Parts: sequence; C-alpha cells; structure tokens
Amino acid sequence: MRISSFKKYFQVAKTSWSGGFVYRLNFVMWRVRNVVQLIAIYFLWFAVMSRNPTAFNYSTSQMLTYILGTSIIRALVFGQRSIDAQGEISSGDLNNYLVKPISYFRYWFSRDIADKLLNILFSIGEITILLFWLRPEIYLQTNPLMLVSFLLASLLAMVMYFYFSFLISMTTFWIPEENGWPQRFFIFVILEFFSGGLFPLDILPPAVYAVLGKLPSAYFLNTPLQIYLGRLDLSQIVTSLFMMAFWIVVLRLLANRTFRKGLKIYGAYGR
Amino acid sequence: MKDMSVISVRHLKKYYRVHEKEPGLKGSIRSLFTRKYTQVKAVDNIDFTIEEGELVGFIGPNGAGKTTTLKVLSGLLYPTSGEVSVLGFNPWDRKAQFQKQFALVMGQKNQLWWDLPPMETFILNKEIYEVPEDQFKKTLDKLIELLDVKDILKIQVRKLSLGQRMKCELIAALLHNPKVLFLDEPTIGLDVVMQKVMRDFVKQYNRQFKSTIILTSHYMGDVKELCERVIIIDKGKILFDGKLQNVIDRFARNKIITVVFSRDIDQRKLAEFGNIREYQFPRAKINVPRKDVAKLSAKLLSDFPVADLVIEEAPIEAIIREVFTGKMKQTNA
Amino acid sequence: MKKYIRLYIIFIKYSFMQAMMYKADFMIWSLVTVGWIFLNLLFYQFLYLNVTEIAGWTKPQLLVLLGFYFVIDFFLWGVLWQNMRKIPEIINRGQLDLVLTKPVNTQFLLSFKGIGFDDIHGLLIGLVTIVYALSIGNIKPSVADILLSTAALGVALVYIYAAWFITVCAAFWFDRIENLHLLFPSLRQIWRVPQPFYKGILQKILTFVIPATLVTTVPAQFLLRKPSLPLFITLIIFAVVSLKLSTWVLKVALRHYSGASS
Repeated sequence: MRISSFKKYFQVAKTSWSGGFVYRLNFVMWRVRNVVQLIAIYFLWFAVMSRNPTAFNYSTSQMLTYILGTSIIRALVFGQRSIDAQGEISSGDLNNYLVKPISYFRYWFSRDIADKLLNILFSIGEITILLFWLRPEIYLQTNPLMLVSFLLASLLAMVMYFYFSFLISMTTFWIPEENGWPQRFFIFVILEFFSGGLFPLDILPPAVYAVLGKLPSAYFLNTPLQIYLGRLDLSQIVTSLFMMAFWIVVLRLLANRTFRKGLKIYGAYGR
Repeated sequence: MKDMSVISVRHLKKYYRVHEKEPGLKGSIRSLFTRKYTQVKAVDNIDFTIEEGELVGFIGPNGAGKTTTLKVLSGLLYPTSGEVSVLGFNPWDRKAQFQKQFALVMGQKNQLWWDLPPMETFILNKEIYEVPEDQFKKTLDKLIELLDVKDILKIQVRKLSLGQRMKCELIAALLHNPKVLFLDEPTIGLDVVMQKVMRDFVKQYNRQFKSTIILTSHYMGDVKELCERVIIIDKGKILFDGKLQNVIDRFARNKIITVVFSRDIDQRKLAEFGNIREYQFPRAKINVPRKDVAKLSAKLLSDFPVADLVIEEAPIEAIIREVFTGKMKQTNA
Repeated sequence: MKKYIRLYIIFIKYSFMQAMMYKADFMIWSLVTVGWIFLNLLFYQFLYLNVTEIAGWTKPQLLVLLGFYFVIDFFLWGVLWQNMRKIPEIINRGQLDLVLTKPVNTQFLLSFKGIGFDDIHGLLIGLVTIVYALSIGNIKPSVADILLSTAALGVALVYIYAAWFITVCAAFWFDRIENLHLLFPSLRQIWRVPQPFYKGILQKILTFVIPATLVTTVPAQFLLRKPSLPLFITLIIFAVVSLKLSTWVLKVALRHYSGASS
C-alpha cells in the first residue's frame, strides 16, 4: 500500500473513532451489557469451581482467567462496526463507496480497528476493576514464547473473524430482508457457544471437542485463550496458527469472490 | 482514434433481469434455487455525446431510465450492451483515476456522516480523494462562500435542515474538483427558496469551473433555468435530444389564444375554433393548431366582439407532460 | 378494563396475521430461538455430567430455574420487545402526538401494541423444561406451591415490564440513544444464574437495589419447596413501586415533551 493510501484509511479510522465518541452514552451502554454478561458467567463458573475445584481438568484460577480473558479477546475479535455493511448492502448505500477511490473492505477494516481499540481500552479498564473487586486467583502466563503466540493467535483471530463476518454481511446481496438480521442472529447464537464464549471448548467430551475444535469458530476465542493458559503444546500451537492463516486465505478469497458476484447481482436489480 | 467528447454513449442497453419474487424471506430463499425472470428494459438502446462544459438536463417520468443511465455512467451498473466512455474511461472498471474526476450526488441518498459535523466528512473525503492540502483549503473556502454555509460546519449533520444538508452534500461531492458531475434529483424535497439557491449554485459552478454536468429532475423549473440542452427519456428510449427551445417546435403543435370579449358570446360557436381550455367571461383560452393560428385569429376578430387577443406558446411543462402521457397523438388538435 | 382486554386481543390477532404473512421469517427466527434454548439446555446437561451440584443446586433444580428463564425470555422478546424498541423511535420522530390523541391510556398503547410470535416456542419449551425437571428430580410441589410460584412469576413480570418501561422513557430526555431499549434486557444474563450463586456485595445489589436475580429464583424456589419469604416480599415491593413509578415517569416525561416540542 502506498503512503498516501495508508493516510486515507488512517483518516477513515480517525473519523470513525470520533464518531464513536459522539454518543458516549451509547457506547457506555454497550459496555455495560458486556460487563453484565461477564459477571453472570463469572459467578456461574465461580460457583461451579468452588465446590469442584478440579472438575473439567481445569484449576479454578485457569477457569476464571479464561472467563475474564474472553472479555478482552471478544473486544479485539468481535468488536466491530462493519456489521453495518449488511444494512448498506440491502439499502443501496453501498453505492456511496463504489463511486469513490476507496476499497470497501479496507474501509470497514479501518473502522473496525478504531472500534476495537476503543472496546479494548474499556475492556481492560473493566477487567482491572473486576480484578480489584473480586480478587480471583489469576493464571499469569510468563513464558514469552506463549505470550507471543497468544498475541499472534489473537490478531489472526481478528482478521479471520473480519472476513467471516463480511461473508455473513454479504448474504444480504441475495437475502436482503430485515437488513440481514435473521441470518446474522443465527450466526450470533451459534458463535456464542461454538467460539468458546461461555466456557473453554476443551472441557467438552473428547469426541465433541474433536469436531468443534476443528471448526473455524473455535479459533475466535477458544484457541488464543488456550494458548495463553499454556494448555497447548508447541506443535499444537504451530498447527493452530497455520490453520488460522489457512482459514484467513480461504475466507478472504471467498469474500472477494462473493463481493464481485454480489455486485453483479446488485446491478442486475438496480437497487 | 479516441472520442473527443467527455461523455459518449453508444447503443447503450441496460436490461434488468428482475426475478419475480414473493415478499419476505421465503421468497428470497426460494429464489435462490428457482428463479422466474422477467426482463425490464430500463435503458433500451440510447446514444448521446456530451461535450466539455455542457450542462444537460435529463427529463422523464419515474422509471424512465434516467437514474439507470447515471448509474451506468458512474460505474455502478454493468451495461447489458453498448459502449460507454466517460473522460476516456470505461466506468465499470472503477479506476481510481476515473473516480477522482467525477462525482455523483443523489438527492435521496446521503454520504455525510450522520453523527458528526459535515466538516469531518469533508476531511475524510480529502483523504479518500487524495486532495492536496492547499487545493482543499481553496476549494472549500470557495464552496463555503458560494453556498453560504460557514455557520453550520461544526453542527452535527442530523441537526441540520434538509436544505443545509443538501448544501453540505454538494460540498462533499465537489471537494476534489470533479470534471464531471452527475446530479440525480438534487432539489427533491426542498422548498422553493432552497431550490432557487441550488439552481443558482449549479449554474455558477458550471460556469466557473467549466465542469460538465448532467442533471435529472422532476421539476421542470430546474431544467428550464439551468439547461440549454435537454434529453427527454421515456421507457428507456430517447424521445428528444437538443435545445430546450426546440422541444416546443418539435412537440407543441398547439398555440394558445387568449381572447377578451366585450360582450357575452355563444360558447358552442367558439368551440369550432379549437379546444376551449377555459372560459370565464370575458376571458377565454383556446388551444389551436400552430399552422392555423393566423387564419383562426383573423376569423375570431371578425366573428366575435373582441376587446383583446394574445397568442402564446403552451408552457413547456404542459408540452412535456403531454409528450409523456401521449395525449399529443390522440388530440392532435 | 374490558375495553383494554378487547383491545389487546385485537392487537394479538393483528400481530398474528402479520406473522403469518411472512412464514419463512417466522421459521428462521424460530430456529434462532429454539437453537438458543437447545444450546443452553445442552450446556447445563453437560455441566452436570461432571458435577453433582453447584452451590447447593442440583441439576433438576437448576433446570427449573432455566425453564423460568425461557418463559421470561418469551415475555421479554415476544410480548414486550417490539413495543419497547419503538418507544424511542416514536418519541424522536415526533409520532407521539398520534398516540396521545387517542382516547386510550397512553402507557398501554405504548407498551402492548404488538406481540411477536417468533419466541412463542420459548414459552412452551420453558414450561416443558420445568415439568420435565420436576419429574426427573422427583420433586412434587403442592397446588399451593404451584399457585404461589405462578403468582411470583406474575409479580416478576410486572417488575420487568415496569423497570424496562422506565429505562426506555429516558428517550424523552436524551434524544437518540441508540439501543436504549436493549439496556434493561441485558440483565437477563443475570437471572440465568440463581441468586445464591452471586457473592458479597454484588449479591446484595442484585437483590435489594436491582432485584434482577429474583425474577427467576423466587418462582423457582416455590416449586422447589424451599421458598424464601423475604425475597418474595422484596420482589413484590419492587414490582409495586416500579409500576407506580413508571406511570409517574411517563407523566413527567409527557409534560417535558409538550414543553420541548411546539
């Protein structure tokens, strides 16, 4: 990417960032919802682990660290504005971008980055407060290799989810009803469980985990956090990272092709 | 050899394959598998060229193909067949060099960021179009002055009135000094005063920047005041392309004679002269065929007690309305 | 009162007709609802494969609570949601005048004009879950228990409705808070977990300040034959006060509204 072109997307992110601050109340409300959900899950697992400290082959500190960790990884991976793309596609506002010298994907990716930053900042603040308040035992990973792998996996998960989510948005080219919310919610429900948002996936029976762990959804939250907790050995980590890279390539290719196909359809109906 | 015109359209066809779809999700899902298509000829074999600096009005009823044509010219729609060239580019390629030289403004859609002041969108567009800082400043100052919007630049877009918003939409679209400008219903929904402001601006902009402009509008007022040349489209075909004045020669087969009588007269006798548009003693308006105007007015003067008599062209709105409704052919009077 | 029941029946009929026009939408949304419930059940089923009790709650006991959670979810999404969603819209777009001029209670019109059927499975599955859980746990509530439990559920629903309505009324003062209508229901995650699970000051807050934990726990406790009268009374007090408060807030809001527009 040329420098001038980088500046372009930087400005997009900047504008999006200030847009996020206009409705502070909105954003705060969104964070409140996240915290409430986190607290409920935290206390559920706290109750489970306090009577059965070694159940599921997890120590209490590992389990609670996992649950609190999902909050930050959620902000990084799932924090997004690009969900609005589905509305723009079904309403025809997509045209606004098509006539400009700007890439629609990069445009939304830049806006997502701004949104993710904002969310991560808040998430870290919330977690800090919760840590001081609840004082749970926390699992601290100190192995630099694990930490670097964890960071890398989180970033890969972020990119992977971006293309995945964009693919869902693009279904509105073909199914524009209700701005694409039915299919989106369906995905939300599935992801809530299959990405490891409520519990680490490896507590599932081995046969089930063998399947769920291989699905792309498992990489969004479960894999980065497993790496952080040191529950994957080096070869498993390398395999996971490769699989994520592979999925990124596949999803990206699919997203690009779908977009091109979608645009033809778009034209054909004259929206 | 490359065409020298800024815009050239040759044998352009844009057929939509609209599949018949039941409403709701069910229809969408079913249509993923089986589709019944009907063909809509939105644009059906049209040709025209537009030279640099021209300001051309597209007129036609809803669904005539105006917006479709603009969308093809903007690279939003892929033509079914035909050749389109704008500034030497094929619009569908959506090359950045091309996109930096034109702008599309749709009166019903907005590109301004709803939650932020318009200035933010301007700055964003500056980066998107890679406009140099000094040029950006100069253009912006000029546009702000022309449209008189200095006071609203820092106010959230959602708090602006429709007119103020439209002014800012125009600025956002013009910051990169486009050579070609497509205006799709720019005055829709605006009040009369604001319509005039917009018209004056477009006129002035066209003159000062020598930009080529295509404008579509429902309001004849826009077209009458701005465009020397009009292209009339209906059902995807061009009915007329030329000077607005010539529309009258071509389509208006009637003139209107207004007579003021000094005494009441027999209406039935008057009806033999032509179609009486209105009669309210002492004044009558009669539609008469153009070629018979001289003969009939002489006869009017001799047959009736006439105090005054004026011969006029039918108003352009009425002529065009009649072109579209097809009344011309039937009455032919 | 009779007029309002008749009106509500008409609203239900109308909503049903609308739902039937888009059967596929209904099907897809149903799939979302049922999928959510199914995955939740699966999760708890799985939890209890590994542990016998959680903070004193056995599997059948927790399933009863979960059943109430599903039933309340229907009330949230089916009965209330589309109305609560529209209130900020109605206010911000100045459509309130149309509501105000009708010779019908404004709060009623704002709160109960539509009903969604996409979540009706939640109601059925919730009830089935409760009955099933009672039978596998060999818990036999008396008729009085069942009546008290139903009453407690009713009180919980009144509280939920009134508290939600009050939060949505904030739209009168703050123009355009997107997603304002989603603020209150985010608490539903709280009542998916029994009240005793929460610890320390948070438990006190979620019981005596925002009694979110009580809405499932109190009805469930009656069926499980371990009722807690103090909690029930707390819930009743909150329900009554919130309901009164909601009409008062609307009154003040309308005065504010008529002062602001014009």
